[in-house]
Amino acid sequence: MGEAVYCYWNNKRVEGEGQLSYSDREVAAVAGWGGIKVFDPEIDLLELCHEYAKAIQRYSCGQCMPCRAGTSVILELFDKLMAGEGGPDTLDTIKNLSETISKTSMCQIGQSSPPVFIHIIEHFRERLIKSIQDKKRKDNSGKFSSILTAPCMQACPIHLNIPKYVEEIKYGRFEKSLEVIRERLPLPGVLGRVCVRPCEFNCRRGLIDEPVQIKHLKRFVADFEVERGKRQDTACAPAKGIKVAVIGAGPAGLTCAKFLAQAGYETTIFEMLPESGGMAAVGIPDYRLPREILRREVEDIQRLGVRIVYNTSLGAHFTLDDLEGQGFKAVFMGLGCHCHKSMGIEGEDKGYYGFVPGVYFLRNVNLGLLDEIPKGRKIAVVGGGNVAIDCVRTASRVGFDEAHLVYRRSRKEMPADAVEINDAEAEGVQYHFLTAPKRIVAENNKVVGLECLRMELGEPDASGRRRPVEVPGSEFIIAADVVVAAIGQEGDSGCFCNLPGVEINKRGTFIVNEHFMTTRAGVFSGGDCVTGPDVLIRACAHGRLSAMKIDKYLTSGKLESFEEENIEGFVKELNVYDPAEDLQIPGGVKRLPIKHEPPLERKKDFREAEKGYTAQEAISEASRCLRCYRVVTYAYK
Amino acid sequence: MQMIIDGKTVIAEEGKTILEAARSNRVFIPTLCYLEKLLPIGSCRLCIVEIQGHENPVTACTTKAFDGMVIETNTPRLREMRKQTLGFILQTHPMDCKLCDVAGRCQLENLVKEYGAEPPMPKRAHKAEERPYSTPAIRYRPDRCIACSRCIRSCREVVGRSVLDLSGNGIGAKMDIVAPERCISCGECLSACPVGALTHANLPDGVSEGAKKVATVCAYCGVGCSFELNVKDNKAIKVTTNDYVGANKGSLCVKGRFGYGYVNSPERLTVPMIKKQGVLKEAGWEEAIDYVASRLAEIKGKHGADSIAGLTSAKCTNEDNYVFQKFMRAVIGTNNIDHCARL
Ligand SMILES: Cc1cc2nc3c(=O)[nH]c(=O)nc-3n(C[C@H](O)[C@H](O)[C@H](O)COP(=O)(O)OP(=O)(O)OC[C@H]3O[C@@H](n4cnc5c(N)ncnc54)[C@H](O)[C@@H]3O)c2cc1C
Ligand code: SF4
Ligand code: SF4
Ligand code: SF4
Repeated sequence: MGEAVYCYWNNKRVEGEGQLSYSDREVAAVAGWGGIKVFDPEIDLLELCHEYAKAIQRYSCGQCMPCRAGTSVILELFDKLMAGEGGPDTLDTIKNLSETISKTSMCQIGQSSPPVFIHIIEHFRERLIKSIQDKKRKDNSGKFSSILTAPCMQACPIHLNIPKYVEEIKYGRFEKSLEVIRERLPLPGVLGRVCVRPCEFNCRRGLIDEPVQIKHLKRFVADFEVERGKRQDTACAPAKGIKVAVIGAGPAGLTCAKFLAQAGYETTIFEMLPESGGMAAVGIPDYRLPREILRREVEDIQRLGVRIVYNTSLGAHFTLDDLEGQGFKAVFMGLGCHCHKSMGIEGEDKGYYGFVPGVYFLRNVNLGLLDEIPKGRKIAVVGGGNVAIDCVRTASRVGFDEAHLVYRRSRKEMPADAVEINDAEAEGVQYHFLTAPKRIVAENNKVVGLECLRMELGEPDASGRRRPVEVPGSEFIIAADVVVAAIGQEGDSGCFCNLPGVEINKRGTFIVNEHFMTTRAGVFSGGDCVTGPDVLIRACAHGRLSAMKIDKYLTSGKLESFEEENIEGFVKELNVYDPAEDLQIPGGVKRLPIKHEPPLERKKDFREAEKGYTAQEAISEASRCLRCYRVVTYAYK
Repeated sequence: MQMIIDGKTVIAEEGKTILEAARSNRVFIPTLCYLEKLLPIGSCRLCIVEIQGHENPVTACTTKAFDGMVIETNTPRLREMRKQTLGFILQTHPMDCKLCDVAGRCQLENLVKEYGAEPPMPKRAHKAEERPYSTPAIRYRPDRCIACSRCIRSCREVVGRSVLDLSGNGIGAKMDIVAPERCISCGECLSACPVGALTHANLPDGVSEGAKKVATVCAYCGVGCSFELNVKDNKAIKVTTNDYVGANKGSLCVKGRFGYGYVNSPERLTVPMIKKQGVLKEAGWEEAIDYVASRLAEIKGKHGADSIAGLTSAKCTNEDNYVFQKFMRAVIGTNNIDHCARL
């Protein structure tokens, strides 16, 4: 752990405290939009400035005049200072130029980077002057590295280059945009529809009016390709002749397979079900994610040479040892989290006709096994997350006339996406907030209703949400032919525990090290079966990193942190998104709303509920992006 | 929608940008990368304005105007910023205006003069540079390019060809010809260039100075694009366009923009010619008309009227064309009549 020598960040100067260290690397210095943090007395401030100036020029897109030419002038001035030419007045010139450039540049590269020089020159002038006069300078430039980030990019678990793909849309280069997305994510059409979009909650544009519709823009470029009937070709490394197995064709497994194939591995996916996509296929209903979109993106992965073997399950049909025997050098397990959590209420374990866990209800609908779902007119779904909403919205589409949703807390606390909550309401779903299930009411072994209790909000609990408490004597019954429990999933420990050498934890998820390797050498895992129920994009991020780890492991026999992982830690600490930032520019241009199928018609079938943007709309929405790229230069000790 | 620009209360249409609102009220805000027919991108940073209540200036071309906005377009702070921005451009732009074909109507030259801009650092010795372009009709001088991307965007947004793009980064960012095979030599890029980076290839530098612009209509096809024939010493030396005139709004095809050479061609027919023993010989009008009439009558008599066809030209007047079809139908007796503009 390093001790801060000096630090100036977000208008605060700190001397002699704080530290920044990640994985096994200790940070010596960082320069970025907020200022500098220096933890190593050996760091030469002038050199740090010089490296930062080089980085700005390297990342400057060259579109706007002040940043393109202005920061090159700054770099030349630092070149001179490094060569021992020029003195304190050069510093003043740099400071002056920095002021203009930061006020006149088009995007955050030109706006947020030059102020670093202003801070350093204002606060550490003496150090700089001493350094200028130092004639025996050692060249340490090799120590420094630089990266580009942005609030949205940083929030995205897979770190898509959002400003770039949005800008490509703005300039009408839709295919380029898709290429940028595919560098990291093989499922743009899927995520463009159902991602929980952490990026949008960290979008700087939201600070002046509303976040950019990042998700819908992604969907637009994916759909544009489909409409044109085109496919993009991804170049693969020459075949290595090494076999790798992926178990589970969910988002994690598919993404992992894509990057393995791209790196030249002979990749085979073993999937238990007759369909790829995992929860994206058998969890998320078709009105949110049409199956042909998912299938097409799976085909793209198969086109890279990935083989998918369906109806074949680890445990039932083969073991890890079998795979080893067949010559697979490494295995990735992306098994997901398919077991439902029980509600712990009376009647749940009685096997009544009409009671189903949400994930099974959705899986049967999604696999077209409509005979398997209990029949009836009225349905009551318990839960407040996306799974619950999916169940309750699916109900009307498979013939239920009345759909109720029972949730313990109030609407505000619902973890489901607000957009979905509203969409469900428009389709006529009846909400029962502050209501907890107490008992499944049955007659002749058949569900006839759900007994509930009213709740009120008490003191905040550990999660900060106010804890609901029962109102005594408030029992009432919601008449229902079918009751669905959708309060969450958990790991399938029953199946997982048959894996020799692979340890699982109390929550029923695999134990992996920081390189996604399980306790069995050569067996990696990621996605929901490691995190517990989570989201698609994180599963994809795990899949991508795991593929890179497997490649590293098979080519060098070693596992080590990638630079992108090391950076991840300390950049996060710098808070790329600052919700308190005052941009000092006018907003007033709201996000372009998307259109929907009429609620009362769409609720009758599985047509896609949301419509995509037209090219015009996409370009105009993309133009709202402020391109909040930030340059970070850093060095390790 | 009401707002205050530079202290004056003005009315503007809902949904307009600040730049549009200002221009419709005759407030001039300087621009280099802006062209009305292109989507604004705000990259030249010259149209910056200050909005009351916000510390940071914004580009007028990309910022929506709102009711009640209080805008300053020409404060000393803004002028100083513009001056410095222009100075940055001058760091690499040669300012060899004496040699430049667009001197006098160059938007950069005019702004530099107005703002008294100067490069922030002493300039390196400048090397003039010429690079092959996607069409031989245009001369490309990268050293003069200010990377405003007007050519790039014109090609993409107006013509839909996407021949050009910006490549490189930082000071190395340059307009680049990325798909020359897609170029249709329409010269939309040429007319978009605010400086002398793209010029007419067949014109030596400085020739167009003092040329007179004659507004006229293109003689090639039925669209009838408007343009200006630049005339010097009674010779057509080039074609320029005005974005605000005609159905073509400044756009032309390769023939309209570059195919004006016929006007002064010594090979143009000025007297009738008759081919005698395989050689064309000058003839009098009487003789020529008699010859044509007798041959047409002969052919019609032998092979019928439908063995004759008439092809006319867009370079004739409407009246000529009308009379010609009348002649073919009523005198010759055939419907075989066509016109080059139908191609
Ligand atoms: C109803 C529902 C709605 C959701 N909505 C969203 C949403 O809108 N946005 C979002 O981001 N996330 C959503 N999620 C969460 C998201 O679907 C998951 O986080 C994501 O699919 C996890 O991906 P994964 O690859 O880890 O696992 P999964 O998607 O679960 O895939 C695992 C795959 O492994 C296969 N498998 C399992 N065991 C074996 C075995 N033994 N042998 C062979 N194959 C096996 C499974 O059949 C499956 O195909 C939703 C989840 C559900 C249940
Ligand atoms: S990176 Fe941003 S600030 Fe720099 S040239 Fe491009 S648009 Fe301008
Ligand atoms: S405005 Fe653009 S770059 Fe900035 S956070 Fe939002 S999407 Fe990202
Ligand atoms: S060639 Fe002209 S129009 Fe094109 S980018 Fe350069 S200066 Fe702009």
